Amino acid sequence: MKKKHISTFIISLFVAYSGIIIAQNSKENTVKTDSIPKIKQKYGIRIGMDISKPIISIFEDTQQGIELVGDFRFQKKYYIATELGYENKDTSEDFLNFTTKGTFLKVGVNRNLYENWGEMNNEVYIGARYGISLFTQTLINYTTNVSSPYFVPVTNNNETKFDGLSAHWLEFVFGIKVETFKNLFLGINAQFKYMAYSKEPDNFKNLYVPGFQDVSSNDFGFGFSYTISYLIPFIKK
Amino acid sequence: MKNFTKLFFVILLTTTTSCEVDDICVESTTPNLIIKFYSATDTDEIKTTTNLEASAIGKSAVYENVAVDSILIPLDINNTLTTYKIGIENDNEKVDTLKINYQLKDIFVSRSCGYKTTFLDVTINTTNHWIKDLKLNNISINDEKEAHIYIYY
Repeated sequence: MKKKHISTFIISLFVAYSGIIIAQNSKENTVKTDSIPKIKQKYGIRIGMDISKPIISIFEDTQQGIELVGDFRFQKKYYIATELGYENKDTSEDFLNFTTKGTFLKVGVNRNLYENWGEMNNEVYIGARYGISLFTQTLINYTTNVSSPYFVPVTNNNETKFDGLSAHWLEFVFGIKVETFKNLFLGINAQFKYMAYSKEPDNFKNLYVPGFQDVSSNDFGFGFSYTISYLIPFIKK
Repeated sequence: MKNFTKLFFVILLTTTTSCEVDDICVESTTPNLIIKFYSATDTDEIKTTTNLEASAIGKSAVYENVAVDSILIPLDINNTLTTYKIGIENDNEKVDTLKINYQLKDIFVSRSCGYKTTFLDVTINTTNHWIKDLKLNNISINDEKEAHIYIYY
């Protein structure tokens, strides 16, 4: 499909170029005008989803989630981008186990750095996001950490639920999107995140936040998505 | 297209090789009880014990035949009372029973360290076979920065 696009583009270039030559030969004295028609690009809303999350949900029963993605091209190189999702994840650490459940929303802008040829509509982009999540943490059990096993600690199995938690963060996104079939895009991106504010549970910490994923001790995070999305074109310009 | 494939693999590599910084527990966890020994005649003078033995009731020894000026002994995190027998000089007459009462409070430390247990409202009773006097430095045991109990003998 891609090759077809490229070859049509090359052929049209060739045709256009030969047209110029013919035109130049016949009317040598006339003012040269650009006879290559300005290539129109598609503008519209693109919606899709992160395909890695449902696939992980099938194979890992400790992790369920869905993430919808969307963007809107408002300038030649700029897109308003958003992600919306839900996650339910069990995390197992050396001395404790907990579950995180909640929704998240990210809003921001992508800038396309890639110069497309003709009707190509691919992207190599960088972007920024503001992310917010509302969630609950449930501490399932923990065993206190002792330096010597002289007295062996008994695991505390009293579940503790922390409701009404929230987190706000900033993201830097780097990724690519390729139009594989007409209006159908495959994408992969990496996200570097910094937790700006998070409402922490009492005597526990938000070690995992939906949409942010693992929160490291220095408040940084990292994530990646594999997306499939469909463009609904409104206009060509 | 070739560039896209290259980029794809670069991103794939960076996403899979990202390292975890907080895998290892470096913070301090459940504190031990620190006892420091002083002379009963000159209470400012640190006094090193000879042939010290320390063990919790019904357990193996934490210290055996050591010459030290302080000891670190674990407290029972599943009870509110720990009883230790501490003896010196390999003498059956010189063995004292130390009863340590406290309240337990678990405090979250970090992802890799989990929770630590701290001991609040600490009270101590002792027999006086070789121990002359005892002073509690702090009623809560949260860390191992300084001695919690001074024993004078």
